[in-house]
Amino acid sequence: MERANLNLSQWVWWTERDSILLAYYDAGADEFTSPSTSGIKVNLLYIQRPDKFLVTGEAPERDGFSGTDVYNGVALAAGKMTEADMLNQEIEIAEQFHEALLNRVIANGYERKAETLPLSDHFMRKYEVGVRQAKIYSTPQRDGTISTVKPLDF
Amino acid sequence: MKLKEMIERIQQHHPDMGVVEVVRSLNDAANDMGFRAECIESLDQFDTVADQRVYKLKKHIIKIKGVDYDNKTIKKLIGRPIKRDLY
Repeated sequence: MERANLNLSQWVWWTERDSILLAYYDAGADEFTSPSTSGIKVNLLYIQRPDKFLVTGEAPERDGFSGTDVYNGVALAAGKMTEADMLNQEIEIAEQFHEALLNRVIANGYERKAETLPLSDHFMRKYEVGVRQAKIYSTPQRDGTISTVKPLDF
Repeated sequence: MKLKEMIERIQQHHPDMGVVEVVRSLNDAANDMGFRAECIESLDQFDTVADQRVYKLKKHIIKIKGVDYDNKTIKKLIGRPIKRDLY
């Protein structure tokens, strides 16, 4: 038997080579077959990278933006960031963690001189606390469910 | 917090940092936090193609949490089939 742990005929997915693969497992024949029909809807629920801030004239890296689509809370023009709205962008990471982002950039700035390295460490530690809090915030999905967070050293 | 306020607050510490440098550094920070805290969840949809098993994932996807096929949740296969399909 090809899959000892799979004993029911069903559709399954897995990832490989930076792709998602879909197949129907036939328990009777013990084989996987690809979708035979076009146009079947597949929904992907996933964790994504935040959309980057754009400087004037830049276009989003991510597909799906064109014309006057809204990106980071502002309207693009011909699919690109405008000078008028560039500074009004707002990242989709929750507001309470924006200060943590600032702390990391401030830490990076203080890294450039030997005499300010202790300040860099100080702000980097504050950033790390923010990352841990963001992880805890995202785990119960804001529904208030009590969940156990496995301690990890970031 | 809007980008303008973020830049102003960073420049209070580092007045020599230009706007583009601040934006690039903020993007690095957001990318790191998004990856490690997994704090942004999204949903996308695509259509199957006949006899095609492999569908390229977009670059902004960090981790797949669930898949529906024809509006029904399907299970993740642990490992992969012994016979590898190229397409």
